[in-house]
Amino acid sequence: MTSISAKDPVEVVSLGRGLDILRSFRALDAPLGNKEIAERTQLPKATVARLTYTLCKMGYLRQIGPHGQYHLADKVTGLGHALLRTLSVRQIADPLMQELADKFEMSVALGIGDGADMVYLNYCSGPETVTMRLRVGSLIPIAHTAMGRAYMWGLDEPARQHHMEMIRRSVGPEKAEGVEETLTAEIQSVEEKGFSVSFGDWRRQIYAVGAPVWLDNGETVLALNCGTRAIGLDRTRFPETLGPELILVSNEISHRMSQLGATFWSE
Amino acid sequence: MVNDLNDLDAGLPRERVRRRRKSGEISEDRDFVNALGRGLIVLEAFSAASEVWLNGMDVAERVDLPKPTTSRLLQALRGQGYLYYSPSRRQYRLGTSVLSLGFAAREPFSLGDLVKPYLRELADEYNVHASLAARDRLDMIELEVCHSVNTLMTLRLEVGSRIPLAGTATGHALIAALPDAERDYLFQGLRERHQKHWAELEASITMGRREVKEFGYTTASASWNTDINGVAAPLVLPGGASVYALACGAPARHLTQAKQRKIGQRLAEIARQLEDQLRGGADAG
Repeated sequence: MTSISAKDPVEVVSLGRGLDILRSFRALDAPLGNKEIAERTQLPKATVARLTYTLCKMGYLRQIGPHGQYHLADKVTGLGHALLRTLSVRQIADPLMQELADKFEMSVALGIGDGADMVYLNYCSGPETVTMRLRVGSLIPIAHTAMGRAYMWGLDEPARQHHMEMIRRSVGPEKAEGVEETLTAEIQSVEEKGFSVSFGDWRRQIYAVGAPVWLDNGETVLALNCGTRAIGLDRTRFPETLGPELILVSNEISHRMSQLGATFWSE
Repeated sequence: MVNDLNDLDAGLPRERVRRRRKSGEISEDRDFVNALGRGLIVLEAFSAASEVWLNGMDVAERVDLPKPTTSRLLQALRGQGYLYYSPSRRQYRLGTSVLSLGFAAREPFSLGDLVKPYLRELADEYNVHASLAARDRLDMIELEVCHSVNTLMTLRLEVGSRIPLAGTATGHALIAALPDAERDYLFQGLRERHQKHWAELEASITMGRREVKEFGYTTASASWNTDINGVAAPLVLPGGASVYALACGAPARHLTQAKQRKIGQRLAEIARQLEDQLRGGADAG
């Protein structure tokens, strides 16, 4: 889950570990104790204790109850909001994504690679779509999701290698080879149609398609997904209808961004 | 290992460090991890700024740290994706990875945030103290609370407050939703803690389970030697992994049996509604 390596200077390691603790919290978590955080981050408990103490002092965690379990505090949202308000692609993509979500009664998300994961930058769902688990800021694994596979396909080789390395690290040496092999095959299969398909590979019962979004003349790559619960759904609808629809949305986002002269990072 | 990791100023002349320590710039708190604290301060410089882009000098000035320290931190944050560097501008800005620092888990609906509007509704409508609680060992611990005028002075239960698991509606509602094995295990501890009153408490817990099964909620009167009456319903997260209790309480004179029943029905409804919402479903991969 981390991009820190043992070769990094000590302060870099320290800082990265502290931030990894914030990353380890997931939506709907009950407060976590140092022991649970240590398990999730695979750090020694004494190290975790000092880092959580520091995060509390800095306003990123708060302690609930005398036994001192931790939960996220208000400061964590400040950084996220500051980033979100500067991403023009969200304003441009949102109406297009919402239209698709309404039309098919599905969830539609836009994300970018973040180590071994994709992080959601924007998220829409249809009026009747029951969605509570995923949202802006959610992390989903690149290796097992339609969005992740489409993203990897869209990247140039060095960037793809970077994420592959992060994925290998996150799954551990035993599984690394198998995961890489499967993912490489999945990435190749995107080639044919320009979008990826996942039938319950990540979470059972979830069907999704994914497509890359190229911005800044291909310098920046994002990815879209569109999906829903599989119950009672016709599988063929995904590759036949949703994939091409998603590509249209992807193209439209790129087109509108370049028309407005907007770049992803507002450089 | 962190012991020797945390002081970014290890290379500075000793005098200078001492001076800055005196002025409070360097924390003397030995448990405080300076590298982390300062890294966060550097990130905050970007979220506080009206400009998107800052160069190293801008940041060093804003955070009031030595330039070499600041630039090491900027490098580290850039390396981990929390900052993005533009070679053409020679400036930094926030990177997309800051979104993964707990943003999704905190806002806008951590479980507490999701439940809060319901607690507010209950507190206002029935003039009671409404809460979401979880179990911690043999206690219940309040995760979110809403007061009403009636209970503000009389029921001093805040976020983090503890009440007993055995003998309260809150505790009994939670126990009712636990798998058998976990309940049996808890009973061992409770029996030990409440030796004298255990027979009575066990009967009341069993009654609570029956009530939850039949009505979706359970009630308790004069809980834990106070004049507080309570009513509660279990809230089970998808997969049964975590169990919580939604509860209302008030001084006995404000919370009659008839009112307890009415609130109980509403609590059970709310719990079903939340469980449905949380079960979610249409989330794409």
